[in-house]
Amino acid sequence: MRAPSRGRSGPARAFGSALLLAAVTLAPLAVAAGQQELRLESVNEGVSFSSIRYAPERPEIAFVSDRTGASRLWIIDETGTNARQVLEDRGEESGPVWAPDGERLAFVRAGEEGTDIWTVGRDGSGLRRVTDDPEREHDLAWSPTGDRIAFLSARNGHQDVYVVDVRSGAVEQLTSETNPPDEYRWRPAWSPDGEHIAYVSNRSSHWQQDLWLVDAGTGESRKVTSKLDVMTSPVWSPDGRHIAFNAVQHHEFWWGDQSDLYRVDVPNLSVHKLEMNTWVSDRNGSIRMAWGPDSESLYFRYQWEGDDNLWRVSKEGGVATKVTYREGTFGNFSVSPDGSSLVYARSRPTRGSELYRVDVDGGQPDRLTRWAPRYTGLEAPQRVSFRARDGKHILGYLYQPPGFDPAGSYPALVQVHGGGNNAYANGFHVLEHLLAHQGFVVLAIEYRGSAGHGRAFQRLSLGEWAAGQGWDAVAAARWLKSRPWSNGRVGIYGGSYGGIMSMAAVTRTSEPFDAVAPFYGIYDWAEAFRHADYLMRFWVIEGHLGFKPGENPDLYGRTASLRHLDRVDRDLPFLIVHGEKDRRSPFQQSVRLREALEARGNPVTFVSYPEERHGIRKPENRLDAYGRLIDFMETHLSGGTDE
Amino acid sequence: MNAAANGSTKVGTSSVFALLLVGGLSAAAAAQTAEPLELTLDNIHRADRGVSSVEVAPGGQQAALVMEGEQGRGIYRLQLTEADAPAGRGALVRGGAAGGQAPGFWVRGRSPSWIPSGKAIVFVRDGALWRIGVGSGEPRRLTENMEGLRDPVVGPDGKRVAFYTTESGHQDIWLVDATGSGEPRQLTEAAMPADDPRFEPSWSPDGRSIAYVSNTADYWEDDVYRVDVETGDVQRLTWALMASSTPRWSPSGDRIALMGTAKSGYWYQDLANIWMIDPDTPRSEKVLDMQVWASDHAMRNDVIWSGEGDRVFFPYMQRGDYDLWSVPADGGVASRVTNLGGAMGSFDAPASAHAIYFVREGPKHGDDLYRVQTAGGPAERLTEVAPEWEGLQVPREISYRSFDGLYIQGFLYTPPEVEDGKRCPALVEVHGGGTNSYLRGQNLTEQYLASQGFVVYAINYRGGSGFGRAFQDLAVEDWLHRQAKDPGAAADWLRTLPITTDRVGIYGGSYGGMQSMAAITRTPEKFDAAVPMRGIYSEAKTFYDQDRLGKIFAKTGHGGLPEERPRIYQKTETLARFDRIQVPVLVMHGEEDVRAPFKNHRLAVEKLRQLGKNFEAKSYPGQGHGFSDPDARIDMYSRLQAFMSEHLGGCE
Repeated sequence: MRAPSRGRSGPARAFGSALLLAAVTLAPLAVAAGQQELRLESVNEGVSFSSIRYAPERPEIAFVSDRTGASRLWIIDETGTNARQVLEDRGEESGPVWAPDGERLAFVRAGEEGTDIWTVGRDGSGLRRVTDDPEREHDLAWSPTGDRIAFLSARNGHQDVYVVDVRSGAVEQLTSETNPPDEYRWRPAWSPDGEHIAYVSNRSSHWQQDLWLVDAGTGESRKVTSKLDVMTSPVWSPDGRHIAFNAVQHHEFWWGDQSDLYRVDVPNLSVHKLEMNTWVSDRNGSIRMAWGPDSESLYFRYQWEGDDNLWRVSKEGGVATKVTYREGTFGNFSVSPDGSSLVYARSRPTRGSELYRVDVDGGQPDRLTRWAPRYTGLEAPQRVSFRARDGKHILGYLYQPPGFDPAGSYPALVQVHGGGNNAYANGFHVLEHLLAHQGFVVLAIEYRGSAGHGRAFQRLSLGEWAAGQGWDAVAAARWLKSRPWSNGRVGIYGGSYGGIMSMAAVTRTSEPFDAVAPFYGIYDWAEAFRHADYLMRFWVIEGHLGFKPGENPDLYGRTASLRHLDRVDRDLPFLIVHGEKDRRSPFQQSVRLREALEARGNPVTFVSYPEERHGIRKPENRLDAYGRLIDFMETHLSGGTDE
Repeated sequence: MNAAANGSTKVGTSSVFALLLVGGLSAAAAAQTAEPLELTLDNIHRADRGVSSVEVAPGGQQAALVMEGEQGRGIYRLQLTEADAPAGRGALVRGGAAGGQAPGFWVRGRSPSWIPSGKAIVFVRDGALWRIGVGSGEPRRLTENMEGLRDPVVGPDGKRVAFYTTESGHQDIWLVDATGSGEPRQLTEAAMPADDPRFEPSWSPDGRSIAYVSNTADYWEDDVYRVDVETGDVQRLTWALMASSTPRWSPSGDRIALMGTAKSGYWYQDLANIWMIDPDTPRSEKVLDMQVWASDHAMRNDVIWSGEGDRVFFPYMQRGDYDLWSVPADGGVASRVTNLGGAMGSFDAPASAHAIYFVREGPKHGDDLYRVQTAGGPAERLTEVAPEWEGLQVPREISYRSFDGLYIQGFLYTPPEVEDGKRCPALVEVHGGGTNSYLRGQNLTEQYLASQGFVVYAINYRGGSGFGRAFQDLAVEDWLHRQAKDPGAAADWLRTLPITTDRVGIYGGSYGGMQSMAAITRTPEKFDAAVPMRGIYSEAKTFYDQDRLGKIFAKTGHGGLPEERPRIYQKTETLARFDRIQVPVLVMHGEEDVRAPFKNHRLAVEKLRQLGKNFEAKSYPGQGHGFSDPDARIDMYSRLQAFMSEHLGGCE
């Protein structure tokens, strides 16, 4: 284990140390020693933070990080000192939850013995296995009484809520037919008195997610919400009188990053939408709001124009206000038991994720870790707007090669983000920095439908998924080509929805594009619908105005890039990349794309990774894929003398 | 810390309650070569300013800038070689100047308006209208001196000039031949009261009509009218909207767009709607549907039409940052054109609107001219007129939790002493404008006070703009009441910092003066000294002493006149709560102030004396709300600084 990050002493008012840190960042010489060159290997150097959880009794925080390679359980003091990996390397650890007394952690370990629930003391002692079942357990919740752990598992064909006795290991199934087996978004939540568990289920209607409450003693379930699509797992107020969650109205668009906040009052289970002046951003259910310890207010994350910040609103709704004013993005966060601070891991434009603590009375966040690699010569991308086909201005993040000379000649790339209704956002994007260092100007665009600009902007994409949306990327390419420094060549690339968007763009018109690299996308939604997992199928319906493929073949015909390849120049080269085990964007999609393009005579490089699911995770595969991307773009965009 | 001889900040000269908003616009002669200016009160208030406004020739070949440059304050001309190019060369240069040579001095005067051919301008000098050609050396006088002459606008045929004067006893539009032949003639009758000099005359593209704002129908209402230039026939166009910007005709003349709010609504000056009017159909005004608002804290900006007439561009301010936005003329999703932030003003564009020009300042850079191509790309700075200053900092944007759990945004300036581990006294700055915001501009007063050993925290208290209407609504009919508890919570938070002593003062001008005084009566225990400047301490007692804009502002804030809403006026009253004051107060005012009537100062002094409070008072003869005399400003801020030093002590 490496030395702990720089320490902070005393009761640590957030501001003081932030000031010190600011001074450090301003003095380049002071940090130059720790800097390294950005190179292809850098795509594997980022450090992740997830499952951040304040301990109940001590000023310390548990989280999961891949700092030492695989995902490991870590604990750090809230002052940023004494960071330690809880266990020796063995398997992958995820989803830690604290026992109510703060002495032990339960977590999921995936290793040679299978994927099971384990518990361990906070000092790494007394490692114990709690479950032993071939099916994977996930999303744990330790009961307030300390004797049981609730979890989800698909061991009986559906994702259901189970409870295991910590001592005896006896498992009881509490709910049935709760969610499809491939639905992994939800976590059960114990009421503070330990008598009930709130959970999310689609059992009342296949394409709708409701909040349910199960009696932990009798197993009797009650449906709490109706006509909503719940989007985050429920969170109980500390006094047990309320449950909060994010949701949208059923049949409303699935506003992933712009959903509404709901409150359920207990015991009458009345459901209230909080009327307030903003929305709430989660990321496919993984980021929940948090209650203040007085049960009077809620903290939540909201992304606006690329920056995630914490907000606070009264449990009654009203005027929500912004707690932090920082650039960058963060995932989940946790409130200290006394409510005095919040912790999150934020990634900023020129710095990868670090853990920060925010004093809820105000002030600048305190950085707790110094784990992200620091690269020389990084410049934050510039925010620019460019005019789209219909006159609207679209935001882009412009990365330039170091030492950029406006009188020079450069190839350019349009980056189209994944997530579709999420955003590129203003975090640290190592790939775009790398491409800029390789000599490309990169414009990463927040095409219409992206979050962070309000629902009205997102609404522009309805009925235009993978179709009219593509014109924004075309406009970006044309804008880049019209720059005086353009060498006359522009490529486009992106993964997941970015793969979809890459194809949407070139099937509007391929004229401004000279190379295309769609990674693990979908090119015919109707066909993908048959093979994809539950979440993707749900999402496809949402993106197609609520229609399933058979219900509106015209719309699905319009959004299938595969059917519009006639608009693609036959000389345009493609680099297609996909994981063979992908069920979010079924692998078959890329196979079909390859066949169709080759039949037309387009030059295609096809790369697939047998063990990858959605995205490219294995370090060696990432090196391969991104190395190929750079080579491919260099081959087709650089060189030549026709500029 | 010893009080330095000079104290510091800049009081603007603009028209509303927004005075302390756009801090020092400044500019030294020959800024490009000059040494950075030392941050002294003298420099802050005497140094040349940067660019004040821009007027682009319709063809886009050149711009007339009102600015202070090598030859003092006046109109300068800037050649715009690439104004109409779809993309400017060097558009990616970060921070550097682009676009050619420096603006050259043209003529002494202000308010230039281009002859459409771009061969001459008409402008105002010493109360008269003048004209000067691009090539010719000598300006020619078009009118005799006329009272209150302002804002000339040349008609589309280039033959006539419309302008306002108060010769009639009211703000009225007059016309004169653009060559100076013939006498000026009055076109409107009692268009606006003489004390409300907002809005320009607005020519229709065919030159037959002028649209303008008038309160003829009702003293309290600003409606849009059109007048036939030949016959003088007047037609009222709107009933529902309270205009807050000059109406602008679409290129084809089929629509008029302007900023305003519904009469039934609040004073949403920075969160205004854009309204569309069919100029041939009275009562056709409609709110343009979009998801954001339009902002104009100085009430000098307008919407700009695209060359095709299919979109309008407008300024919108969020959280202290202005940017230019665009929206389809039929409504829809507005989108952001610039991504610069800072304080922006004076937008203009050539007829094609291929590029939009504007004046902007940021924390470390004063007012210069920028351009953004509407096809997209980063905005480029075109001038380097604003002076460089020594030792400016970028304030930290930090929120704190207020008394009721709401988080309030603030900008924190820190003195150099804290880097040596010292603790310094703190100041809460409360901005003017009330319904505006503290902007991320070049706020030289806060910069100066920080350089002099104060931790300065400028807060965007509830009721301000920039955070949406729901946040603004928190102070509707509740001015200076719960709103005035935000500064006290800021003081509490400041005291918890490791960089502050336990001494905290509060100061502000205009509405900031009102807030400062209110804060020490609502939360008397939170502060150790207060310096309210140019404020209103009893709306009820001084309402009718205000100029028209002040009255409108107060009336909207209270939901009616003092006699109509006595309970609301009691709630916002500060003077009657003076008995609660526990801290030393320094109160300062201009004796000619009619925005925050000077009577407030007299009442405050009388009451403070009567109650035996520890206070000092200073008033300035000849000074209005804007304190046009730099000597008076320097004296006022010197006293502020000395007073705070005396009562808060120095860094420890």
